[in-house]
Amino acid sequence: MTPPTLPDDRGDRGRREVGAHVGRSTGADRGVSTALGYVLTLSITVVLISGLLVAASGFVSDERERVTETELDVVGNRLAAGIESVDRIGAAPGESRVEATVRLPPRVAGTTYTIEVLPASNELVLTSTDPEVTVRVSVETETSLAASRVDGGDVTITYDPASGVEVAS
Amino acid sequence: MADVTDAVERASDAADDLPRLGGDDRGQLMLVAALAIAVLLVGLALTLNTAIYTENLATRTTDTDLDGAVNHGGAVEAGAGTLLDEVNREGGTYGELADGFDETLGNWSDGAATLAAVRGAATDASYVDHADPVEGTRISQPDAARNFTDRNETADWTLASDVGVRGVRFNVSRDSLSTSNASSFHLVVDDETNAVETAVYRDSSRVFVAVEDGGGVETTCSVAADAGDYVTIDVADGRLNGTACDPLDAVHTDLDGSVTVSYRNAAEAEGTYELYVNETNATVFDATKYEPAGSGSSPVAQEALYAVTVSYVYESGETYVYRELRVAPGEVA
Repeated sequence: MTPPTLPDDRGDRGRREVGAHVGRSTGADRGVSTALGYVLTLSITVVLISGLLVAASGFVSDERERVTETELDVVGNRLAAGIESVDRIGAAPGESRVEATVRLPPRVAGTTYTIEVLPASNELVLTSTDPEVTVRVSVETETSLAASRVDGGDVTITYDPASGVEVAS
Repeated sequence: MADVTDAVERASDAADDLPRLGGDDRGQLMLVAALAIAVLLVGLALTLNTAIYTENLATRTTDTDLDGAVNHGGAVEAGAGTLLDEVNREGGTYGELADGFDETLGNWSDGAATLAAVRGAATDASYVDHADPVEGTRISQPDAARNFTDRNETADWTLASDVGVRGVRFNVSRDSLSTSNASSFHLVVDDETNAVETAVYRDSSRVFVAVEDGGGVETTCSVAADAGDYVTIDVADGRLNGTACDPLDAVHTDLDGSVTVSYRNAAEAEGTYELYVNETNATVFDATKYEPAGSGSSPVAQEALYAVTVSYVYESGETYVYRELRVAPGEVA
């Protein structure tokens, strides 16, 4: 007759396996590869992500500058077209008075800008605040053009025989 | 003795929490980086949006509406010119003509303002009486069955000397015209440096207008005309029966300043004509050449306004234009 098995027999087998494992490990270098792997992963990730961020922010910044320049050019040309239209009516024979409003955007690519009229060089100089971009647009008039400096936004162009063409905000 | 069991349990709970790296705290670097890149991408999207807006702005028409003002100015000039000649044809003293023109232009302006209001613009046109009109003379022949000779039937005669001329128009009977260029009716406009000679003749099916310019070069244009037809010639507008006749442009390009207007072989054309000169009737009227107005005979020299000054206002949302125009339709030289 088989004697009844005691629960302790299974427990003995478990204790023997644990005893064998403890016997192979030898101290301080245990688990080093896990830590090393973690540090390496972290470093490489940081380097890659930093590179990505620097490249992306540089790209966005360049694009913003380029877009600002293009928009200032378009805004300047629209204003020049308005000034030259007013000048054409003023230069035609007969007395005339003209007042025309050109609706320009108050900001370009999220930044404010100023418009300077330089009659000496027949130019409009548009300068944005941040990023600081300067665009020059030529404007030709037959009547006299008054020097002025206005902020971006709606701009009024006036002509009267005494003072010629003037740009005001 | 104090019970320290709770304190020991709390200490052991805290010790359990400390070294745990797995779980909710992991991946923070990726999260922060992903957020930063997301922000950059949003910035890029906004920048691209600005670029698209810029292209949109660049392709818009200019919003000053000054072209509307210029168009209205053209309409005022053309309208006032037609009204001026209509008033001149009615006749009267210089004062009556100016008053008549003022009233007629006022009526025209009211009609034009109603039409302009449809396009969102307020307009007004008026006669400027502080700028004196140029008093002139209308020389005309209303009798379509008479030839172009003067009152005494002189065939080669001078209509006016050393004057400004405008609105030279003929309505010529095709049948009355000569079939030879050399002996045909000639209109000669001479500024003492150059002369432009316009001959009108016909063959069996067409009427020809031959213009000899200041350099002596002759060019011709023609129009089909059957027996019994009348042909209109507008010298200043360069039109023969309403179609363009480029050789007539020589009266603008080759002449300068005051001119002398004369007819040659005037018996070789029948019909009506009119022209305006910028000297008063008292100066131009010559009883040997002209009949007075209202006599019923031809040709007639009578008082007429040669040029007037009109002003107009054009106002829309963005634009205000006030302008004064000199109106002298069909001025030669």
